[in-house]
Amino acid sequence: MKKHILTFVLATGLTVAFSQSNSFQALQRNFSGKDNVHSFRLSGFLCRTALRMVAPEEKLFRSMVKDIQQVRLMVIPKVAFDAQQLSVNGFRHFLERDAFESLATIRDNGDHISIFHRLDDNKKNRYFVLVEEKDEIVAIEMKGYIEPDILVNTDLRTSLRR
Amino acid sequence: MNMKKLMMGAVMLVMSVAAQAQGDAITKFFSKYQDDPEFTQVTVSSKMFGLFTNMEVQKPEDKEILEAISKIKGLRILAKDDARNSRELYKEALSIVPKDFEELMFVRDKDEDMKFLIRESSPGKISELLMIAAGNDDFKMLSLFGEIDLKKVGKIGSKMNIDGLDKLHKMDDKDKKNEQ
Repeated sequence: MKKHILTFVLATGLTVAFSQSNSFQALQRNFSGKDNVHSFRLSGFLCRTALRMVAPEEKLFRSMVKDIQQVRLMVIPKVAFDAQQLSVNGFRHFLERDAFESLATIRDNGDHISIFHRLDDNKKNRYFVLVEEKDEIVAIEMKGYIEPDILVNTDLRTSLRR
Repeated sequence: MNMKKLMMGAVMLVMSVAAQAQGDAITKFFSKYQDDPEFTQVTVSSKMFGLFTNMEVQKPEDKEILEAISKIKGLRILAKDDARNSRELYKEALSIVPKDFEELMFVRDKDEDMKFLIRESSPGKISELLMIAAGNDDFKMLSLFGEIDLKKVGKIGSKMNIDGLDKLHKMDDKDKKNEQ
C-alpha cells in the first residue's frame, strides 16, 4: 500500500513539475522560500470563480481567463533579483531561450508588462505574463487559450494594472 | 554593363537607406517618450497578429478579416492622458512624419483632432498606417505596419478593438455612399 501511495505521490509531483515551463521552474529554484516571495497555483475554474467574486466588474479580464486551465503566479520583490545579481531583462531573454515568443509589451505609469506565448509540443498554448513594477515582479504562467483580440484590446492594460 | 549594375545597386542602396531613415523618425519619436512614466507605450509583435489565424469564426467575411489581420507585422501605441501639452505633442508628431506618408483622413470629433496617414507599398496596399490624435488633455499616436488592405482597414480596427482605429469605419461608410 505504501508503495502505491509513494508511486501516486511521485507521479503527481512529476506531473506538477512537468506541467510548468523551465522558465517558471527557474524562478521557483531561485526565489522560492526567500523573504516576501509568494507563489501559488490555481486551476482555471478556481481562478474564474475567484475573479467573479473579487472583481465582478472586470469583464475583460474574466473573458481573458475563460478558457484557461491553469494559472501559476509568483510575486518576487525586486531586491530578491538584485541579491542574486539577476535582472528582469535577463529573465526575458531566458523566456525567449525557453521558446516563448513576445506577443506584446506595455509600459504604463512606470510599470512594464510583457506578454509571451509558446505552443507546447502537445499543441497546447502557454502564456507568460511578466509585470515589472517599481518594487516587485509578478510572473504569471497560464495554460489554456486566450482569444487574441482580448490580448490586443487597449483596455486590457487597465485591467492588468489593477 | 557592370558599371550600370553598380550604379543601379548604389541608387537602390541610397533609396533603402533613405526609407530606413524616414522610418527611424517615427521610431525615434516613440523612443523619446518610452521611459517617461507619464506616457503609455504598447508594442504588439507580428506573432500576436499571427495568432488571429487560429481563431474560430463562422462567417467567411470574418475569416477574410482575420487573414488580413494576420498580415500585420506590428503595432505601436504611444499615449498620454492628462496631457496639458497635447496640442504641442500633436504638432511635434506631425512634424516628424516622413514625406512619403500621405493623409488618408482627418476627423474632428468634438474637441479631438485625429489624422490618419498612410505609406503605400503599391496601389491599394498600405505598408504603414499612422494615427495621430489629440484632444484638450490627451494625446495618442498609433503606428500599424505590415501588409494592410485599405478596404479592410476599418473592419480590422473594430475587430481588434483598438481605440481610435474604430474611426476608420467612417471611411468604409464613405466608400459605401460613393458606391451608391
